[in-house]
Amino acid sequence: LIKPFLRRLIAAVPLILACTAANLPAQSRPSGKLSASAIEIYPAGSGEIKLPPEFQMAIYENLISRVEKTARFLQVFREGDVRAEGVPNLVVMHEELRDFKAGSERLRDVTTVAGATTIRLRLQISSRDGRILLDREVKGKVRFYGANLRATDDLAKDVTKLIRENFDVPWTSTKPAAGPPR
Amino acid sequence: MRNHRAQLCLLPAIFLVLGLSVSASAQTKPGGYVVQHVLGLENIARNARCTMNIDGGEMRVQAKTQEEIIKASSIEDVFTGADSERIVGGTLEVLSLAVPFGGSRFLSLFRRKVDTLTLEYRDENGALHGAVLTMKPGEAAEVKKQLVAAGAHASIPAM
Repeated sequence: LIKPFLRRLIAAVPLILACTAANLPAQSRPSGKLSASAIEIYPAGSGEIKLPPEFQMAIYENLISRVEKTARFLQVFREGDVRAEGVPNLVVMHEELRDFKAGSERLRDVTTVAGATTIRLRLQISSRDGRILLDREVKGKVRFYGANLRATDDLAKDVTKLIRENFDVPWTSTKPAAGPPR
Repeated sequence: MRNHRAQLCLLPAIFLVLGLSVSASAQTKPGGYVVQHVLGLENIARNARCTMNIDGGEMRVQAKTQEEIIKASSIEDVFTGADSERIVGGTLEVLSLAVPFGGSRFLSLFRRKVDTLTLEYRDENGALHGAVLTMKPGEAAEVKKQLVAAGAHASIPAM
């Protein structure tokens, strides 16, 4: 009588563990990685450093499209999206400009070694209540070939790498009915 | 002699008519503006050549098969800027890298000036979007004026 019960209990252990882990807060995941069901991305604040508006918007748009592709979040929200208000286990991404050097595409083309465009940001991912979960510096640059705005895509790639390293794939595979917000 | 006098008298009238037609074309462009979509518009592929029209409080950007409509009242900010791009671009630009004796570098010296137009707008859910477009020099300021007239907001006033 006890043996079948024990077998069932042992068989149920992974399922119980999986269910509890899915409900645990980010830091307590067995893999040591963070996990969140949704993320809200804010545009980069430039502070005292002057960042051209096209760069600011390019960083924001590239971040959103790249973070969506990581599949680490079921939903990726833009700043101000009212649908983000009631979402549980949502994290918020803020960026602050640390350094910006506008290069020259022509100079890059002609000299190869000069005219690089570089952007350095401080990236913070925090919970909704303001608890900081991740605080890193990310860089984007275009050194040899391409337009200056390509630095923003390079920066978004760096952020993507950081997210893949630090965030787990969501345990539940159920997608929201409305689909990912755009 | 009389003919010459008559012609001289007609000259100011001709200049006036020409001037009026030029100023009218600066205000509205019947065929729309030819723009290049750099990024941000969701329904349109990046680097696609599009036609942009501002009419009835809306900004309509049309590519070959795709279209994006943005309400002017939802635009929170409009910025204009200037940049330059290679005349030999796209696939030819990549192929030119194979040209010997620095041919690609030589070609990169030939550039054209472009205006950049950056928009910040919100969708029906209040989510912030950004879009970057490039167009012919001088057109970005015109577009900004028209957008502001149609109800868009701009932190830096249109010149």
